[in-house]
Amino acid sequence: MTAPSDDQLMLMYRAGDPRAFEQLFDRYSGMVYNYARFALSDPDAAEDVLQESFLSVADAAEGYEPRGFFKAWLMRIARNMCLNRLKSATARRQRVAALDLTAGDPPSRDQGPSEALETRERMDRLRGLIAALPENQRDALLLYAVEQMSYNEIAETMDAPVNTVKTLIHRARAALARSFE
Amino acid sequence: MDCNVSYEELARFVAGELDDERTREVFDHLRVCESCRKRRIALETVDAGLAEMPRIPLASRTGEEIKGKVLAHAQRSTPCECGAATAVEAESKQSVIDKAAPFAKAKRRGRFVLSGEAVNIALIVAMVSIIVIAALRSVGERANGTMTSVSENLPS
Ligand SMILES: [Zn+2]
Repeated sequence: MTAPSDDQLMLMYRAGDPRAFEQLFDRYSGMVYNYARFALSDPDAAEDVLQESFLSVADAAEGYEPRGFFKAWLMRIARNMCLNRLKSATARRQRVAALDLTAGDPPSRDQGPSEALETRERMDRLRGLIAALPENQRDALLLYAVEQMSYNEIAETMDAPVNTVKTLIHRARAALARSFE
Repeated sequence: MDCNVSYEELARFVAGELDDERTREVFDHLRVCESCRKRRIALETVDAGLAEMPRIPLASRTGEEIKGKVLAHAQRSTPCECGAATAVEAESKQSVIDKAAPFAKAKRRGRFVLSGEAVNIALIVAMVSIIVIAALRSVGERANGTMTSVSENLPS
């Protein structure tokens, strides 16, 4: 038996099954949190965004249109919350000050200490560079590379044309590559 | 060295998103352009890093805590039970969504506006037809009345 689609779960939840909502949370909480961590560089704020995003999903379930874009819809909610937070000057200052994105890293597997360190250093550097990208580039790249969303899903999430999304992603890759030459 | 390939275009090349003709041109260009070769390696390094970059995990205790709160809320507000919610509750919920998700807000507002308009149009049509019918009737009645009174008053 295949797992129910996001839309099916939303419809099940709407019909009164809270376990369907739990499945959606399990499926996407990691994605929302990771995105918010990058967007806000603040673990506490990212936790708040995770919680508020899913509360909003529950509240908006009734009006949800099952068009196969749940993930994009959810990320759009999370993204708007992050953008609202970033609007405050305090958050802006925090973002510059706190590029410590690695506090919660899991221990690496199957690697010798030096190799693990090397990978970890490279990852830290890459994360720092991603966090410093312009907002739109960073978001498009994260959704594309880390969350493996399609161009269409990203366009839906960011409310931008597909071509714009592609340009943002390739510009972001080029910007990162400049630091790795 | 004459280089007509931008970094962004090279990024598209590495991602395999240029058309066949341009792909061949960039491919040929790479043979003669040292700096583009370096850029290509840098792009591939970035792509490899992105491909294996793990998500930043949420501490499991915090994750469970948030999940508990969210599920408690979701259970309370399972849409089929919404009818029981008070108007105040419903309104405060809507304001959270409005603030958080313009996407959902726009859709909802759109639908409400549409259905509101539909209702308005139906009401107007109904009212106009009632007025018209009433007017026609009274005109008819008056006409009949006049005719009757005229006929009554006619000298026989
Ligand atoms: Zn070149």
